[in-house]
Amino acid sequence: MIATLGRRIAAAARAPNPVMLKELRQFVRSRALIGLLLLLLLALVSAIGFYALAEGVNQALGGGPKGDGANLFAILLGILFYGCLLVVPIWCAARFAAERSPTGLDLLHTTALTPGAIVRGKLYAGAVYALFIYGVAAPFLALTYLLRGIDLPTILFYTLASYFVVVLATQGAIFFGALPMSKVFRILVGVIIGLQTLFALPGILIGVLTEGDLGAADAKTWRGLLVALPFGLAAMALLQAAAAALIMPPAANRARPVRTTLAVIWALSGAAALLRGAIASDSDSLAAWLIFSAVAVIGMLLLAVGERTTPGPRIRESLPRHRLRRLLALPFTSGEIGGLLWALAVAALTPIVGLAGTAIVSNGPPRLDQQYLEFLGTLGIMALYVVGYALTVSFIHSRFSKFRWPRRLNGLLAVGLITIVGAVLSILGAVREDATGVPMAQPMNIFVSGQTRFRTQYFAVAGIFAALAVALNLPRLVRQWKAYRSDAPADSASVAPPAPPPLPPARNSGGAPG
Amino acid sequence: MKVRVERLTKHFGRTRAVDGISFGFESGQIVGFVGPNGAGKTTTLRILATLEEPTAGDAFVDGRSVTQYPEEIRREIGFVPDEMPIYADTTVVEYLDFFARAFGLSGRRRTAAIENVVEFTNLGDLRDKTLNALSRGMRQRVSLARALVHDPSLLLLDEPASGLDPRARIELRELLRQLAERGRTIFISSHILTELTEMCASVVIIEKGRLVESGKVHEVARRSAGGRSFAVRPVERLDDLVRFLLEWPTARNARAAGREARVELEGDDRDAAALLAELIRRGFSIAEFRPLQAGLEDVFLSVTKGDVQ
Repeated sequence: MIATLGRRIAAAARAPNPVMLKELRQFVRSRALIGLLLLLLLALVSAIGFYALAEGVNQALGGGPKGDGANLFAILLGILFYGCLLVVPIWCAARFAAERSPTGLDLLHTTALTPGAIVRGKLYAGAVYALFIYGVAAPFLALTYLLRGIDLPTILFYTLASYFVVVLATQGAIFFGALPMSKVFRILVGVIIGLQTLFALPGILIGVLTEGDLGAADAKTWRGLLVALPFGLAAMALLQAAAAALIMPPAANRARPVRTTLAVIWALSGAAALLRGAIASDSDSLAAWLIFSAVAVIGMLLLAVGERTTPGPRIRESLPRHRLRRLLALPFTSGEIGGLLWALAVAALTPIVGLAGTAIVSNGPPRLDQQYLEFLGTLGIMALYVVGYALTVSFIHSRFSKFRWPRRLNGLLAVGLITIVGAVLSILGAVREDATGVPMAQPMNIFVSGQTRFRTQYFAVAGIFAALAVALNLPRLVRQWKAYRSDAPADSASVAPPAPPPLPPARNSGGAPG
Repeated sequence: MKVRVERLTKHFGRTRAVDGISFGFESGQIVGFVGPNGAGKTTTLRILATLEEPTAGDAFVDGRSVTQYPEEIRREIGFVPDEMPIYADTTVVEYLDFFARAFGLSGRRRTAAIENVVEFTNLGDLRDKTLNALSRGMRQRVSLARALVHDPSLLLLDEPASGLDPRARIELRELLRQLAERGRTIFISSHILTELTEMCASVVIIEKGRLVESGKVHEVARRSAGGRSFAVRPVERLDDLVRFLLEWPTARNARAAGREARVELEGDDRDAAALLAELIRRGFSIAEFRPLQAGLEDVFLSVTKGDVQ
């Protein structure tokens, strides 16, 4: 394994990602970015100067103790972190969005580069650029050690942690740049998300890592890192897979990277939640995993109904020929039925794994208390409603061709339908309650699925709604399944069928010499 | 290198962009791909370039399906789309280096490949210029160099001459001729039919997604005209000559064109010789009697109806 890893690293060193190289070459040539780098250096030097001045004044006035390196480190790291968070992700996203023109992607898709390699190249370039900036700022950060109040491992720890957040934000921005939407909408959403990230991330980072104490990286800090790092890595993997899927040619199996990554994350996070539950003897992590699973299932259901109904020749060729393997490949194959099966499998396995796992780690019956069972019930009702709404939209789309909209909008329309029905019923419920003082049951309203008072009724309505929607779509889904099952790739694919006679060879190509 | 397109069909929603077209060609040819706007040329080229998937039918490059083996096919084709390259702030050599790496070329092979295409496309003086500093013609040459950097056997060019000035067009034409002489197969779509006439040995004409004609240019011309065209220039009595030609049994569409008469003749060379002999016997002083090579423009106008989808 180590030898394989070594070979891979050596291969990567011999043939670095071409997209990364191109990006870095463009970066070196960019005057704006070099200017920003100089500005950052100026800000760091100024911060040290102002801090020294303020400390000097403080000392002269007989103030507190001599300058604290931890304070200066916090200021410098703040400047560096915010500076990088402003520049690197925006730079990467803007470039990717600009290059996401049909021609730009077409040219890349005619090369040997995979969509994953393109996205990775962009991320690596952002990471190297951020590393370059951090490298330039490193001496300033190390200087704070000489002022005392902070040790070198702590400096290293926080610097690396903040760098990791910058890289994560860069991956998020690249995903955002890969989204197929208009420039205005992209800028609008980007500003909103960017501002939120900018203000929320540092607080979360410091909160998670230090629980308010910035001085020395202690056991709490390392525990915080242990929690934060897997989340960050999982988010990065998912964003990378999603970005790659977004730039894949329409003929490719776009669903595979996202569904595979999500399945791996789901399985690993489930195992981690069970492990933590066994060690800490509580169900908090399991509850968090259930929420994550529900979000994944609901998201996949909404995406699935917008997908194609039959796999194209390119996807068919990539499918295994063995019957069982072909069946197992279905949840990871682009298409409505594959997406629905993925969601169904995860929805079915989640409570089973959760309950069985809890029983195993507790050496007895499952330890999910009433609160968590209710919570699980709420998530179940919500998932059933989503099944109903999403399949209803898909049914209307397939049945009434006069009102045909692009199939990819099915998920969005289902969300719209859920919102409208929920809003109308919520308003009616509020009016009724005002008038009578008695809460009104709101079946079909997904947003009140957690109301314990009507839980049984909601469960029944959601179940019937989902069953009806499945029944309506069943013939269509069966047809999709049969088409998938019978689509055996041709064994003689490389041998073309008899062809029309080719054009005769050129005798005179318009007076070409020789 | 053999290229075969078999019953290729592509639907975009309810629009049939390509509707069951079939044709084929072999290496060393420049094949023109002609059709009105919206005829399905770009869609066909994109399918051949593995960028689109056909709704039905398939295309084969050396017997390998473009839908089933896109990765292998990509190494065999160079695609020049109708739009100019992006990455405006990279130099010519960096741009070519990027695509050479993207095709998996490394070390000396990559350096040699870049040098070869720079030399072939005569980009030596521009190698360190950024793309945004180049004229449209120069950028088109860079685009061609990019498409050639991995040494493909088949070049697919979508409207490469559009927007180019006459000099750039001539230079592009010369480059394509040289490539054909080196055994490359070139499939080129263009609206500039006079350019194609001079370059192409064969032509594929489509309209509304359907194949209208395909074959060698002069054969297609003959088929579409229903016979061969001749120009007859008399020393005098042009009107009498036209009247005579109108009555000649194997002649059609006789008309005066400047100082000569044009006529389409059915039959072979014997029939043409018989007509010439009869003209002389009747006392016409014939200064010139020559067959006319129909241009692609004539063929295009005669076989297409100008419909768009």
